[in-house]
Amino acid sequence: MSGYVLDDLALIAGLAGTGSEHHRRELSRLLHGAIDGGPALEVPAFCLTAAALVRPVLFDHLADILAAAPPAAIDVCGLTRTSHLDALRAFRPGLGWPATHAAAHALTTGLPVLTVDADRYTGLGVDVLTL
Amino acid sequence: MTAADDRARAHALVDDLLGQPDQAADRAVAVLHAHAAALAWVRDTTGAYPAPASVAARLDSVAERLRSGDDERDPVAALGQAAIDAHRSTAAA
Repeated sequence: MSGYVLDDLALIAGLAGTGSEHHRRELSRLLHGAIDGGPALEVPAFCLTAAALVRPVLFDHLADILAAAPPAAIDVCGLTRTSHLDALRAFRPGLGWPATHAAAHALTTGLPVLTVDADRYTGLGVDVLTL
Repeated sequence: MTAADDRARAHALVDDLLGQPDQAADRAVAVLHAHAAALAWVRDTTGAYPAPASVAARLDSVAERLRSGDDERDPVAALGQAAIDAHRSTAAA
């Protein structure tokens, strides 16, 4: 399985209008690719919530795209208590919930986190890529 | 609606929200996919997850040059070779 865990910072940069034109177009390419069978995009629910606080209409836009895309191309994943989550909370208690959710999902799936701030995940034991 | 209609609608929604990708975005995402594939190779070949810091740093450096246009090589070949070289260096150290 290939894909990316999109964190709240990538969502905000790409979808909330706070990032560069390049961020938007890069995320556009990723979404088009996922719709066409390319790497899937996994969106932790807490990351989507954080991004929607910046631009509330994001919920509707992303849900519309998800509902029209092939199954599992774009997925909004819930937060579940796992050993990964417990370890992250113990190791980095000050990390916000969106980043914690993204890191926990990355640890569970083995997928890299896609963000605009790779330093945020330093020492958390996940592969990180920058949008 | 057929699956093809759904896909067409999904593509149109993405374009409405974000605009169409351009050549720079195509290149950046090609590099991103190759970078992810190189990390997956490291994981599958060595069992290391996440990639060792020295390997990750080497891949980041190559990916940055590929994105910026300073390096015009094929991203899959360039990052694949970088992963192999970095892995060998780490194993030999």
